[in-house]
Amino acid sequence: MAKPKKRRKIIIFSVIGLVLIALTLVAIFKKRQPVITVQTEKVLLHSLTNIVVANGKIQPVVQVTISPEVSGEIIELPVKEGQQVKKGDLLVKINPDVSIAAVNQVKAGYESSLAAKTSATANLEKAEADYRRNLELFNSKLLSESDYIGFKSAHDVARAQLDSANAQVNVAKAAVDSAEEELAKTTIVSPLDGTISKLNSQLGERVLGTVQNAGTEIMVISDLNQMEARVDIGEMDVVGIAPGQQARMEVDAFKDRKFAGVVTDVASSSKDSNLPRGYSSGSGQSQEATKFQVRIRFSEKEDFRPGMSVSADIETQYRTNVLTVPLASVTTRPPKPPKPVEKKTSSGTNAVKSSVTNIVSATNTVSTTNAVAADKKSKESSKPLDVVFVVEGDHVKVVPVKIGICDDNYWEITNGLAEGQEVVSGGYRAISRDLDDGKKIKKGPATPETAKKD
Amino acid sequence: MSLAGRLLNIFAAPGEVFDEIKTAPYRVTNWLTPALLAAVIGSLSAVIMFSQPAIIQQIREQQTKVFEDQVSAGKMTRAQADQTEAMVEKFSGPTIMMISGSVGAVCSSFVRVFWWALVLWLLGLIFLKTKLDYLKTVETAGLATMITILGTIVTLLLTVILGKITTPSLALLLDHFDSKNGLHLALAAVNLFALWQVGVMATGLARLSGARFSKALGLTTGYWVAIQLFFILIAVLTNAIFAAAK
Repeated sequence: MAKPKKRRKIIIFSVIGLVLIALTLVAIFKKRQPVITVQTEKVLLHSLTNIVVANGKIQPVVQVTISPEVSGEIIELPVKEGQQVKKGDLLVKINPDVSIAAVNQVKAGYESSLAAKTSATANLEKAEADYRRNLELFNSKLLSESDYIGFKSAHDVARAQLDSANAQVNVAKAAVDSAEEELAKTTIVSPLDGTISKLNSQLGERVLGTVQNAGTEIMVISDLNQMEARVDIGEMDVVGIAPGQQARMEVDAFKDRKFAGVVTDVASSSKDSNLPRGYSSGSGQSQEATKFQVRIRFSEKEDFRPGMSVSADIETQYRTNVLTVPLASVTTRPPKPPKPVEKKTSSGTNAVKSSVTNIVSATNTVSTTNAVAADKKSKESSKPLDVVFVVEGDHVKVVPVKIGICDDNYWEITNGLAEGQEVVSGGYRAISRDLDDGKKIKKGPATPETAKKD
Repeated sequence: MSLAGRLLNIFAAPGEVFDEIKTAPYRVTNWLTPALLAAVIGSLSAVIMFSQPAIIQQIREQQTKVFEDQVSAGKMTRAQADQTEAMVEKFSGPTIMMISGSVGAVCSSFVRVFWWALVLWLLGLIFLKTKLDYLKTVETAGLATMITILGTIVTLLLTVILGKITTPSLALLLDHFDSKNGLHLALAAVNLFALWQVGVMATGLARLSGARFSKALGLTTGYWVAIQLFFILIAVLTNAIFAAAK
C-alpha cells in the first residue's frame, strides 16, 4: 500500500517539477519585446479639398451711413427702422430757419451789388461822354492838356469802378449760391434703394453736421438684396485665400442649411494694423492673434439680417486622386544622427612623441573647432521629419514622407509611399510616442475614432 | 511528518497531511510558513512582472484607451488627455506598481488563510453540523496555501512567456481578453490552481469533520462558485454603470 502511494507522490512531484522547469526555461530563453497594439489602414487614392474655416458676421455689400452736413433740429423724420426706401425719397429734414436767413442776407447783398453795378455803369457812360467831347476840344487845341488828362483819368476811374462793381456782383452771386446750397442740405434724401437697417436719431433731436467733425449718424441704409459674410482669417491661413474661391457657409439662424458663396475680397492689412504704434487694444495684457478680413458674397438670396453670425468653409486647394493616409498616421520623429567619425589616435615613438603630441593637439584644436561648427549646423538642420509607420509583417518601419494638403480625414502624401501599403493609423499614443523602427506590433480592435469614421 | 514533508505532501497526498493535522497538537508553523512563503513569492512575482516592458506596455495601453474614449466622447481635449496621462504615468510607474503589488501580496497572503479558515469553520458548523476547532481550520487553510504559491509561480512564468498579464485558466483560450465581458471574466475565474485548492480545502474539511469527501467538495465548490459569481456580477454592474454614465 505504501509503495503505490510513494509512486503516486513521485509521479505528481515529477510532473510539477517538469512543468516548472519547462516554463522557466521558456521564460528565460524566449525573446521578449513589448508588442504594441495598433490599428492599420491602407494607403489609398482620394480626392482632397483643403478647407480653411473662419467665423464672422453677415453684412450688406452696400451700406451707407447718413449724416447731416449741417447742424440743427430734426423737424421731419418720415421713415422708420426696417422701412424700405427708394433713391430720392425724403429721409430727414433739418430746421432750415438759419439757412433761410443766410440766404436772404446774401440775396440782399447781391441786390446791393447789382445796384452798385448800375451806378458804376451810369458813371462810366457820363465819364465816357465827357471824355469824347473834351478829346475833340483837345484835338482842336481848344482845351488845355491838363484838363484833357483830368477827363481821361475820370473816364478810366469810372471804367475801373464798373469792373469792381461787376466783381462784387459775382461775389454776391456766389454767396447766394453757397447759401442756397446750405439750405438744400437741410433736406436729406436717400442716395440708394435699400432698407433702413438702423435708425439712431428721433424727431426733434439736435444733430451735428459733418463740416468740422464726425457728425451725427442719423441712420444706416443697407441694400439687403446683396449680402456678404465678413470673416476673420488668421495670418497663417490668409496666404492661401484668394478672390474667386468657393465657400460654403453655415448661418446660426438657418440651421441645417449650407449656403454657397464666393470670396470677393481679401484684406491687404490686418485688423490691428491701423492702431498707432504702442497702442494695445483692451487691457494691454493679452495678445490676440493677427486676423485679416475676408469677404464672401452669398450666391443665393435669403432673409439675412446684418450682424448675423456665420461660419465659412473656404475651399482653398483641390487635389484629385492622390495618395492619402489618415490624419492620425502622420507624426514626427527626429532624424537619425549621422554616424560619428572615428577618432584617429596619434602614434609614434617615444622620442618624437612630445613634438607629435604638440602637432596633434594643435590639429585637434582645429578639428574640434570644425566639429563644433559642423555640430551646430547639424543641430540647426535636425528638424523633426514627417513620418508614417509602414506595417511589415508584425513589425513597423519608419518611413519619412512628404505631405501636401489635408482635409478633415486624410493627408496627401507626395513622396515616400505607394498605393496599397499598410500604415499604422491608431492609437494616438502608439504613433506619437511608442512606435519606432522595428518595433513589434499587433492589430487590435478599432478605437472609437476609427470606428466612427468607418 | 516534518514541516517540509507536510508542505510538499499537500500536493500529492493532502489526505495524509490533514489526518495528521487532526490528531497532532496545534502548530503555528503549519500556517505561518506557507503564508510567509506566499508573501515572499507574491512580492517577487510582482517585482518581476512589473519589470517586464511588455507588461508595462499593456498597462499603459489600457490607461491610454480610457483617455482616448474620453477624447472621442468630447469630454476631454487632446491636450488635457496628454497632461492627465503624464500625471498618471508619473504616479503609477513600474516602481509604484511593484511596491503596491508586493504590499498587496503580503496582505492577501495572510488574509486569505484566515478567511478560508473562517469559511471552512462556518461550512462545518452550518452544513455539516460539526463545530470544528478554528485553529485546526487555520492550519488546514494555511497548508492549502501551498497550492496558491505554486499557482503564483506558474502565473508569473506564463505572464513572462506570453508577454501579457494572464492566469492558468480558460482565459488562455481567448485572443483578446476583455475585462468588461462577463463571459471572459467567467473563463478567467476557472483557474486550475484555484480549483485544485478548492479540492484540497474539501479534503481538509472532510478529514477534520469526518464527513464524506464528496459532500465536503460540494460545499467548498459551492462556496467558490458563489463567490466567483458575486465578483463577476459586481464587475459587470460596475461596467454597466460607467457605460450608462458616458
